[in-house]
Amino acid sequence: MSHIHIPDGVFSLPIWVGSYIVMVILLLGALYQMKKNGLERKIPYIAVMAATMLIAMSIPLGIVPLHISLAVFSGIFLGPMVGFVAVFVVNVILAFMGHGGITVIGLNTLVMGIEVFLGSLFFQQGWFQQKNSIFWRGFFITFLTLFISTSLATGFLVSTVGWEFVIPHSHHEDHTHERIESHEEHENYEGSIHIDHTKEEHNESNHKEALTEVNYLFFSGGLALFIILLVGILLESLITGGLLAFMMDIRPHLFEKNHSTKER
Amino acid sequence: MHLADIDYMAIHQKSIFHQSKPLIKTIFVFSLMGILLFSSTIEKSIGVLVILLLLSMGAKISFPFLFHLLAYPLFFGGLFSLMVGGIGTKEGVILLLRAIGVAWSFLFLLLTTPYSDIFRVFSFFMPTILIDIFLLTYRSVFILLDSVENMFQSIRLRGGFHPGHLLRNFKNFSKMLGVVFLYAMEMSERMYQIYALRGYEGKLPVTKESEQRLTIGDVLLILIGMGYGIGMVIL
Repeated sequence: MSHIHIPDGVFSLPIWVGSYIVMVILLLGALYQMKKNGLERKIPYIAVMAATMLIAMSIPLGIVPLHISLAVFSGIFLGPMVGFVAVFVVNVILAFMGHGGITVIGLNTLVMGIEVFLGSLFFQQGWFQQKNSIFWRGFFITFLTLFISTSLATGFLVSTVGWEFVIPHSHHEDHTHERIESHEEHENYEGSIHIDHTKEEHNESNHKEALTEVNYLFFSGGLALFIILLVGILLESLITGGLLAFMMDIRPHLFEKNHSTKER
Repeated sequence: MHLADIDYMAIHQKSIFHQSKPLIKTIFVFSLMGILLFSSTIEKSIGVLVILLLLSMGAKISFPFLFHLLAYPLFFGGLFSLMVGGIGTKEGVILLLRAIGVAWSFLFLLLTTPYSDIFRVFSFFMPTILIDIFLLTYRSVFILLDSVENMFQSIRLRGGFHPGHLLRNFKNFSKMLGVVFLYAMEMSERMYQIYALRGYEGKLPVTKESEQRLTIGDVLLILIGMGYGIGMVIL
């Protein structure tokens, strides 16, 4: 759900290089753990999970300008480390196809990695077990995980590049030239666009302006943005809950409490 | 996602760039990406796009298909360039050209190089386990795509999708994903057993390049790359 579709050149060098470094460290750690625990056997599982995620991502949800990612399901099914490898593979293939920039792979993998990690963590916790049916368990875990990851991703984007980049499929054509004049941009490395923070007041008003232009159903502004994200989270939670319930019906042994990642 | 079409073009199309060495093409494409990301002038970015246009013509890439694939970065690049400043500003234009240029560079690589060759180049700097995962993922996508299409059709034919019944649609959709996933799992288990029988121990053998001679495409790419680099320094 929180896959960032920002193209190359939007993030400054320190942000994308930094996210790449963190991603590489985590990825190498995950691969080392896989080798150490003899999880080479899981390679075909990772491949099919990644392929299923890619296919799920290519199916439009229709009622919201978002798509599902199944990252939470990947975390539940594969575990945090192996699931992280799967989301890395998915993001590289998507970036090659032009869905999100090459320089955004690091950030996208980290955001989806959070979903994988939290999904796996919550699934192991007692709070979600026993009392709830598997559908509701999957639903609540996915809802909570996506709510946290989307909030983190939104917060990060707002603090680094601005409100405008968080808004899915909005239209700003009418006010473009007004904004051009009020923006004073400089380059901290050749080609990177940075907004001058001495003009914070202007930017503040631009952010508000960008937000007011978001429309969804009968809503507009920040409320519309919130509803779009909320509907997206609800839909992915419904689908993940349904998927988990179906899998439990057909192959319950895959999700048994003590069925460790190592054994699967 | 047109993975099958891209793969078909990479394997069956014939041109001087299809015959070039994957390593040289990859280095060339990464160099173009570097130029686009770090260039601050519109002229340099346009120069890269002109090079890509000429290379795509030389590679006999179908332009309607290429522009269809570029629609996604074009849309998002356009959207974000409007947000940054607009098409009328230098920053807006550079951002748009950058988004299109980087995507086009990688599409040029994908449309002229079979995926197994691309992953072989990646094996120079990536762990072999990751290369295996990439190869198997790519293979799995093709197999799953067919089953998803068939599944969609059968659900529609049996009345599984109704415009007015959102909840029921999503319930059926998750079941469909479940069936696809189970099918994929069974396939992966079968695949693993076959590999294990053939001696797989966590590393798929990848064929090495035996031909060491440079092709016309290689020479052209090297000359264009060097020429553009020298031109950038001089100008």
